[in-house]
Amino acid sequence: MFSLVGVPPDEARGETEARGPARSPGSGRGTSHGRQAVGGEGGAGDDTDGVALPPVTVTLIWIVVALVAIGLYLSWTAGRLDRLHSRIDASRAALDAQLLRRASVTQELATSGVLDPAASIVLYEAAHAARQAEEEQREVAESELSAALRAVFGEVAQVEAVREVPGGEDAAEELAQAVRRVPMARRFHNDSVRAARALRRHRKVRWFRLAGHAPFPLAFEMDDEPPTALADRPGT
Amino acid sequence: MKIGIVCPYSWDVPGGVQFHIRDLAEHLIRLGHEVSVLAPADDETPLPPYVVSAGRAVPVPYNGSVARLNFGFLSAARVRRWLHDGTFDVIHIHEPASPSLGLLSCWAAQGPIVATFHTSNPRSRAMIAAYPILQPALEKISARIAVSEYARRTLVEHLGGDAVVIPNGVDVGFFDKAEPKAEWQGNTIGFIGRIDEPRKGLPVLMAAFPKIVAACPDVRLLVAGRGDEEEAVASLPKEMRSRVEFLGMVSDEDKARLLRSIDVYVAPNTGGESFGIILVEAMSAGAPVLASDLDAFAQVLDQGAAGELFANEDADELAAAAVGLLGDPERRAELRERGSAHVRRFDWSTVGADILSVYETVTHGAAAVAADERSGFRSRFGLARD
Repeated sequence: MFSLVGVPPDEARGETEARGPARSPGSGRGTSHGRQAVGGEGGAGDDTDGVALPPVTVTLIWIVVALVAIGLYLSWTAGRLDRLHSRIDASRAALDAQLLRRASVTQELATSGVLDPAASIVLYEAAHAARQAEEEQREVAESELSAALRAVFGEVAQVEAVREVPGGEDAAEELAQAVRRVPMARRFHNDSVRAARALRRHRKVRWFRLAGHAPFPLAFEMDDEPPTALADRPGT
Repeated sequence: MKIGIVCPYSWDVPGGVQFHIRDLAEHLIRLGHEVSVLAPADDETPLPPYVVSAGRAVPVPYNGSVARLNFGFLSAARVRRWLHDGTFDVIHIHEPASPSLGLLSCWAAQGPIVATFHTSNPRSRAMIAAYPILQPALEKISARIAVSEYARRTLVEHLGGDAVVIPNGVDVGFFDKAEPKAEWQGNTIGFIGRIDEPRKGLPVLMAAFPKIVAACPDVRLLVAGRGDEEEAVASLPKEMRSRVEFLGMVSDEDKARLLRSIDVYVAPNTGGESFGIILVEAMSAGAPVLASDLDAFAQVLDQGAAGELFANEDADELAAAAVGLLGDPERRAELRERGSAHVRRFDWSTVGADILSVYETVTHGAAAVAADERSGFRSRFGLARD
């Protein structure tokens, strides 16, 4: 469309007439259509000189080009945002799974009779509260479970005691894995939340409402420090 | 699990990142996972069965040195094909911010992406300028791994967000079981690294060497690594040059045997290190370590508990510490013991389990990796071929 308008009218007419017979019927129809369009434009402006288009048309073309470019950019940004939102959903699901796993293993250990009664009650209470917590209370309840786990498994001796009973090796390993993966999953989740927030705060996203009705992403803040006896890794 | 690993640097050029990827891939294969590594390599280089070539890397001046990088249409097409054929559950990209295969695959893939950041550079103008270009690619990464607390800090400062720290792995057993070589034993100091790269710090060690010889006359310095040997000893007095032995490039086996034989391993690196795998290898082999107090080294050595530290580029302090260690067998035995206990956390059994935990966390409930159809303008207009 642009290329047809872009051809200077005189030259275009001359060329189509000269080449017309040599062309196939299909392309001939196309060019004659083009000639009409160009002729109409040329009649409104100056069709004698080499400079063809009136400034208004040139400006219009540029506006159209700019609008298309902006449209593409916005659609690409919306795609980015969409991808970030689905990343948040996935990372949140992973975090939920790890938290649930940690609470289940804790509850299992608490009811197994391996630990002394006081430790069992503390762990059971905390794990139960974490699993039952409403969404607003969740971060607090999970932090309390972390604190309870640290209190009970702060000493290597306690972990060894769990490992010695039949089946305790697996339980201790599963708990160690769970307490290590919760901080990992939380870090990944909060990282995706940060990336989405950074993009959503941008002018282009706010002005054009590219985020739609998606809720503003919230980070999951909790105390996830694992008990030292279960996870002695540097730095993580 | 089907795992795709992207290596940004030429497979045929030895380097820390490449070795890390090789060991990781082999460790994961031993555990029964399906692993494919995409790496730049010449088409005629023999490759292990798990490596797929992404074409030849082009030497380009980048970041102060000549780096061999992959970019352009051909590489991008190979990345897409690899992603398409592989149907990976997760892809693990190393150095996603370098303008090479890492960035290309980040751009071309969608799904669970794990990325490891190895370098820790001070903030550069190029990075700031490239930020808007990098961000859309980097925000696809579901999980970021930094190799040290120091690398993590760089990452957070440069790109924002957060990362988990998982150190580089070492096959501790390989170094532990190496046989010492008699000719390398007896009051020897070891150094491994490029001779002609000042960053590796051999000049600092050479400046300290006369003082070490003055205190312990029978000391020998064993240097393993490529470079101009005559230029390296040019600063030493003539009579001391015979005390320095150059071993050239050594094989992995010889490296392990060398580390088993020496009395002190010196790492005088002056900067640009983000991890310091060689220190872990030395500790695995039971060599007492004396290293400059770079952030990364201090962290690997547990703030000086697992090895001694000296002020960076201070030859006098290096000499004093080395003389102290050579004259004190008890202190060396103590460091050996602490080092061996400390390196357990860098063994592949631990590091591999952590990396697998990351994979499992990000793949939980997510779809497999696929080529990203949205990233091309052709596909936007329905013109893409596939």
